[in-house]
Amino acid sequence: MNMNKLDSFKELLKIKRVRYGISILTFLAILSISVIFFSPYEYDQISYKIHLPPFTPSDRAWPYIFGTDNLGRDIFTRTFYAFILDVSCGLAIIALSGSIGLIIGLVSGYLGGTVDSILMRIMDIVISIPGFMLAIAIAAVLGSSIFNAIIAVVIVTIPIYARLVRGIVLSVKESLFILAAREAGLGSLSIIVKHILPHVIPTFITQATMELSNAIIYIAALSFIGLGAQEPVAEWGLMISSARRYVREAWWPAVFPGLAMFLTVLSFNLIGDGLRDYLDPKKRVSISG
Amino acid sequence: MARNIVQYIFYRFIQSVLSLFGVILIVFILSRILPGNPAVAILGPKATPENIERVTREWGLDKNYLDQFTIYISRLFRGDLGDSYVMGYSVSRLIMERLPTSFELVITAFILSLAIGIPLGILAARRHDTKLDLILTSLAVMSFSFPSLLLGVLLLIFFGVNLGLPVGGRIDPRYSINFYTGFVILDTLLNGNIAAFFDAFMRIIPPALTLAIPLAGLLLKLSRNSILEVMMQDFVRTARMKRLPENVVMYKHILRNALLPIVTVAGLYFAVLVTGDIVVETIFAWPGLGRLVWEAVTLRDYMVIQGSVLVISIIYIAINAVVDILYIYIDPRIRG
Amino acid sequence: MDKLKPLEIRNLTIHYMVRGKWVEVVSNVDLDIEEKGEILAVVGESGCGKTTLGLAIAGLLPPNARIANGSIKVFGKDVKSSSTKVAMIFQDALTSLNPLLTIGEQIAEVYIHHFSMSKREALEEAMKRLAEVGLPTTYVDKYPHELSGGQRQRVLIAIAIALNPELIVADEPTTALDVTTQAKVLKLLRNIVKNKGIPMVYVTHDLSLVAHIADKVVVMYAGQVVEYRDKYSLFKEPLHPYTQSLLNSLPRADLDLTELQIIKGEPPLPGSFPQGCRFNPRCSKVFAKCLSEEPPIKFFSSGFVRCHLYA
Repeated sequence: MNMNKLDSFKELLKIKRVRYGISILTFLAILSISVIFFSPYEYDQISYKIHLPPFTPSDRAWPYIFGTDNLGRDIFTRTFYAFILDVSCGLAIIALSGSIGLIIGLVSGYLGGTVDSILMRIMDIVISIPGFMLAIAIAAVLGSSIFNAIIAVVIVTIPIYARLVRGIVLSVKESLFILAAREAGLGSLSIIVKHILPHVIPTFITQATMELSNAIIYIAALSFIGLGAQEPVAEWGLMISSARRYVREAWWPAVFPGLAMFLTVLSFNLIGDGLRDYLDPKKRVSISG
Repeated sequence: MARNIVQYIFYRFIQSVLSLFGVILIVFILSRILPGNPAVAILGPKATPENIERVTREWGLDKNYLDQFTIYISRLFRGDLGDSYVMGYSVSRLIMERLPTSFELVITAFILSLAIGIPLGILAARRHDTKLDLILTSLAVMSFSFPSLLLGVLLLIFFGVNLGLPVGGRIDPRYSINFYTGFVILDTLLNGNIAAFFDAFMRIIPPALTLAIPLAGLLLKLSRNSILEVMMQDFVRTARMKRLPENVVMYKHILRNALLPIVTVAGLYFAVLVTGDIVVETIFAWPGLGRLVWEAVTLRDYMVIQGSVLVISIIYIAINAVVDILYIYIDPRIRG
Repeated sequence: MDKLKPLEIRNLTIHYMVRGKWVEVVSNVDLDIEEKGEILAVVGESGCGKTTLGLAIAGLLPPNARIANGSIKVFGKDVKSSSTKVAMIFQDALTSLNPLLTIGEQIAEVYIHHFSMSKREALEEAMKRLAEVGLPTTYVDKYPHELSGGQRQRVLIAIAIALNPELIVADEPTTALDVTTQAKVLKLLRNIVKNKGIPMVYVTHDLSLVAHIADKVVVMYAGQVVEYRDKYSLFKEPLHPYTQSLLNSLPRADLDLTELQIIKGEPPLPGSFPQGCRFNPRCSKVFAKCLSEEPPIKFFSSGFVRCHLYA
């Protein structure tokens, strides 16, 4: 069983997109960890050295690699602190909404009947509101903090997983009735875990990886308009928001966080795209793509 | 056959109404989840005792939830979204004022994305599996991953700083234009003010591009894949057998079939545009509905946020329903 | 002066690109149609290359196929030049018609683009073609999915004759139809080509159909022509062992047989043809020479056969 997993992982790595994505992510992660341990600047350290351009030397170990922002803080340090924050938020979001959506989808698909109808009705209603609008509404009600922003995005994205999982459960349910009859002794839970889940997991993981990039964008966007992270936290959307006003004097406080966000989102998209091709047997023809 | 269509339209309409009701309900629930007195949240800094009393009466905040909901819905039906005590106008008026502005931006962006995405998608399909195709497809994937936050900032810098063109806002306030249609681009032309027209034109391009590029990337991928699928179908071979000119084969036979499924996801496009619109309007200080939302968040004006969510959701549901119904007329297979 | 033959194929070899390599699918085919209005049937099992041959004659080979050798001439003109007019009737009429256009539009296209007619004139002509194939003229406004299988097949025939072709290739047009419809469509097709004097190549795997429609018959096996005779001679006195087995395997109600006679084994796939005569693994009359040498062609008054038995 373990050998199988290792082999499949190696197969996955053969896909170019996956390799690129993982390399970029690793690079960014290493930079972030280096920043946390070695950066001579604090992420919230205000100084009078406002809007210094990139690579301005300083009296510390490192120069201001990305320059300073409108409050004299080092952007390089803040950008990579934000990497940790945003990626963690993204992971938290997909973990929470993924698990809740998974459970709802499994229950709804497996039980069918009234439970299914009601649950799916609710999911349909949530989906019929543009996600960002609903997230704004929820975050506005709960109050402006990262925690509340996460909750908002979780609520908005649960239906995506629920519908996906339910669809797979429904298509597998038919063929499973035979199995279920045979294992008449086993409770529903075992059937779900042992027989339905394996069909659900691959597509679920692919979707979750794609949703990770969306989650990061959501958090950044919510923070950008003021509903997520608050000063002095280092978060990409918030950094861009503060920097926007001064963009004519200094472009670097807005651009570098944006670039970091782009690279991160791109990596997860590449990995998710590669995953999807890997799991779809019909498309397997060009592995090097 | 006709009965089928009518049945479907009716069913789709009911669906929309239900979704609408669900949205209204959710927004209502959200507004009452606020701990403490909702009146205080609504009023924000203007929470004087007299105002609190007035708001409580207006919205029936001292009554039970069912009564509250009834008041809320009946006001909604009259087009009354409440008053913004923070900004000083009725919410409906604020929204209606800003709506055409956003509409102008979104439509321009949508047209731009069609003009960029679909021809490039056709090109990629025609030259599939060549280097050009690879480049185009990679660009499409990247453009879809490009957050509007970054793209907007880059375009703002490029157009504003590097090219020195006017950016931000909708038009230089020094021009005095009579607004006939509410669409600045048209109005400047109608006013005969060419200088104003160019000014407005240059100001709409960067934000429209920001919105259009991710969508164009999506359209490129979708149309390319759809065309390739259709190209392999037998009826294309029949068209070749008829020795029809190549462009007839492409446009009449291939494209018509290929672009059909793309129309169905128009609702998806709108969602993409809406999500990006708020950010883009904020970056470029474009005075539309999106920027209104940002202002409302900054001022903690919940009534406006709630009203905007409602209006945008209603438009979204309506567009999806209309597209679904239109699709029936475009695809004869469903009609029969 | 030599009268120009409707169809003259010499030494035709066709390759397909399979997994990066060129594979021979049709080998050294020589074929003629002598007269206008003659119907030549091409018979064989799946994979023998008959459909590829048909596509090549119509100039519709897919991009992953190429004519490696030889020539196909229709009335003296090479099919690769665009001066030939060869129409093709395909097997699956549903997928061969554009689902978004009306029947009338799809027939009228031919007139608009080849005969410079206006849309109205073209539609009028289209209605005439519909009548010719036995469909009500009101069908001009119908969509393909509204018609039955047999009706759709008639539409394909109407499109073919609208082109006013020099030659028609029909690729198993009746395979997907039920037996009664099959007979009607077959009869229609035969009448049209005979009345208009259009030569036709009729590709099929069904030997019993051949008896009804063909004037001359070509039997193909593993990319080669193994026998070419006029219909009566072929059925009365089949020369090639493969033809004989094909005839033996037809269900016969008049004979007292308890089992269906089948031919043992499977036809070889392109790329793995046997040495010598390609039929040798399944031939009941095989002998030593068949395994090592390719059989020569032997001519008779009624046609030719490719077999060592007659060398």
